[in-house]
Amino acid sequence: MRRAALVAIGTVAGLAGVLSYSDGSVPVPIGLAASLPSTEPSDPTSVTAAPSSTPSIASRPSTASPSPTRSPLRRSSSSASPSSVPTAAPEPSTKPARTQRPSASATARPAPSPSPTRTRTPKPTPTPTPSTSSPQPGGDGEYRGTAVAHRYGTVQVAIAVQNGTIVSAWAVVYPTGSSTPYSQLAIPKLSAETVGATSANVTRVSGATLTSNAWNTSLAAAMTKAGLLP
Amino acid sequence: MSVGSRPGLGTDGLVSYAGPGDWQQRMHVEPVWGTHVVLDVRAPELPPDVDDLLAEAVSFLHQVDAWFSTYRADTPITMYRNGLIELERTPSIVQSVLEACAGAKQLTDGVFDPWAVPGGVDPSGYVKGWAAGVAADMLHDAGIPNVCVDASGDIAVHGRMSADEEWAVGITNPYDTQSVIRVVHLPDGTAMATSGLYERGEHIRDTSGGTSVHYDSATVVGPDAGLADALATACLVEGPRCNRWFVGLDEWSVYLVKDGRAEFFGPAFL
Repeated sequence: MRRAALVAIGTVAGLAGVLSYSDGSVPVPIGLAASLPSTEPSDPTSVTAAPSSTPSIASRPSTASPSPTRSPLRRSSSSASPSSVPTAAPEPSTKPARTQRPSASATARPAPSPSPTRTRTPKPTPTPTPSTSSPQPGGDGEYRGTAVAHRYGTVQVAIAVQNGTIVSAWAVVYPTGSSTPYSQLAIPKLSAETVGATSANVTRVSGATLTSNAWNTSLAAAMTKAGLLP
Repeated sequence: MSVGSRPGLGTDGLVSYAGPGDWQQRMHVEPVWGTHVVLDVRAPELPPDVDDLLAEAVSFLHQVDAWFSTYRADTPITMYRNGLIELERTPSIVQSVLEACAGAKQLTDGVFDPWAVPGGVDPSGYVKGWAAGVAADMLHDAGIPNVCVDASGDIAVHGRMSADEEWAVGITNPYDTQSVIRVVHLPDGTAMATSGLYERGEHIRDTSGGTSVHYDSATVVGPDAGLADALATACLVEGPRCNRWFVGLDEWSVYLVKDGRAEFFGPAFL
């Protein structure tokens, strides 16, 4: 039963915030009800099968992006001069109204003007091939959700399960033919996992200020000891 | 680094430093803004004037203090807060940062609000991340391909950590600050900020009146360091509904921790 729920959730929620679990905890995506697009009118004309080798298409960096992601701040900052100024990142026109439902805000949102996006190294996400076979409910394997129609087309998401945990989710059917990628119109879904300490091979840590400062201070002390800092 | 553990959490919390591999590396730690900023530059071959470039970036960090410190009486921001000068008379960079803060306020439905603090507008919640991003851009634009600037947890990167790996940054465990709970690989040109109250009490003021926050820790990854800084604070306060701010922001990722559970979305956490 829980398995079925996972499939259904993956169907509608998988595109925006693809479920990715790395531990053995019970995966319970949260915050789903607020943004289910399944009640939207259908547009069956724009359905096509996704390449099976493309996991979580919608969560990939898109080629169109509204201004906040491309603030002049990071482009114009090659010098410290006052001319290298940042500007307000988000435009009012792209701001969804607070009271709107997620689907309504999606429709009210103007199509973002295309802007260049950095090439991104894809994350090494597991990419199992979607299978048409039906694994035993509750067992390891790949599960396909039902196709769900909404305003911008139809979406069907598949998940791969190992040891009761979703290890990958991807779209097998997603809308095409629109100038606006589907992912532009989805509110990111929150996935969940249990927090636990992990081994890490890192250059830096990001935490509340004092912790990070402690890391940096400690680093400075070590470097001083090593003769790397005056 | 000591190994931290806590009942209910994993015991495997070893944190180790990831070096540059075969690349050359130069690291500088600068005391500024009452904290430490780390500049970490790496390349197969660093430019011969790398120390000069680092010095320029460091001088920018101190210039930021001279523009934006609210602890000094002689800065434009303090003079503006005290009504001694008009906004139009402040340096244009101060005006621009305040405009960016206004944008972040609008994006977050007013949850991030530098104007709601006592004593007048205080853009500190944006400036630290922003300055880290600018410093990283300066070094990168000067010809250093791989740069990481860490302003006490507000981190901005260019390039990669090593030939084999993108910049790897740990998210501090809010329940045990000696360990990390997640490693994030930051793509070229992105930034990361974490906000939390777990160590210094309520230094974030909820603009709706109280001082309560929803999460124990909030981390935001995205292509704009200043906005990441502001959004981390806003998400910490707002709770799960913060995801509505990220509609269309496909490059942004969020990792939120509460009561030993994490909620997350975005490409950085796939």
